[in-house]
Amino acid sequence: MDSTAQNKRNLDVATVPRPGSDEELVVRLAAGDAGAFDQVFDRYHKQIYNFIRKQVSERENIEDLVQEVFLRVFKSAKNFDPEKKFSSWVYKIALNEVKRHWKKSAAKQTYSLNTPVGDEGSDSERQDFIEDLRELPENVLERENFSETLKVLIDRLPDKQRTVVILKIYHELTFEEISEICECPLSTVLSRMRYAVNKLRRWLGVDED
Amino acid sequence: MDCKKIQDVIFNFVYGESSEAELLATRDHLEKCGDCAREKQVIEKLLDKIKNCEAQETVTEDCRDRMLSKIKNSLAGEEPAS
Repeated sequence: MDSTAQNKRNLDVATVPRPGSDEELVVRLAAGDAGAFDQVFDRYHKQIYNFIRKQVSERENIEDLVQEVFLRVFKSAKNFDPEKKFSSWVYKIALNEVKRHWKKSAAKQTYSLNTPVGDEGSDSERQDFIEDLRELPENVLERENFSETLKVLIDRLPDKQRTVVILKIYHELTFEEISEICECPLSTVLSRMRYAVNKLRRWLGVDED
Repeated sequence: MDCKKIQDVIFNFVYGESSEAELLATRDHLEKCGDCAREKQVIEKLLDKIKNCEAQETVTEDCRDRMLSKIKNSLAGEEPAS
């Protein structure tokens, strides 16, 4: 993140842990304070639930994955780097849990057969586009409900691009935070965002909107 | 700043995450280049549509209590989380 944006972000984060702040909670978590765990869970479970909901197709797995995320948060609190942002750390754990789920899920493997390997825009981008169009659900672009169409198309983005879109647009995180969560350079996050949006524009034909 | 470079910085600009120098250069280019200004408008409209196409799902109290209870049971070693 550039210095201006970082300074703006820093205004929202106290340097000295206040009672009930994330920084204070993680210290208590690390000490095994069950009350702190309840507070962390109540502060983040809705965000994490919705993040996971948009990343997995099997609805019955969402609660299990959320539970796994918070178990890891609790068990790993001692390893948390206080120089990092706690919320980004929780999202990173959630993303890793989602990735583990993707690997295990046979349905997801089938779903991802057309996912481009080089989703930052490789030489196969044009071919990926052609295949993506061929694989679109029937009549998706003719649906009257534009929101439903968009949801279907977002689901069809390559995993890494979809993750960036979800974290940016629905969770309103900064690109710097997303870079930390996805453990990739800021430039890669921006590329994924650009390719995702370009892909949605092509699918929707909204260039002249 | 040229039209190609704009593609690299446009999302930073749209989301207010540009550095000061980048912000000035982007603004300057968008004022002079109609194509890029229109491109920015298209992107903003699409981002807005994506944002509005799905609301956050409410997690019910029952769901919240169920998840928290399972986590605590798991932590207590009484049963696995799932």
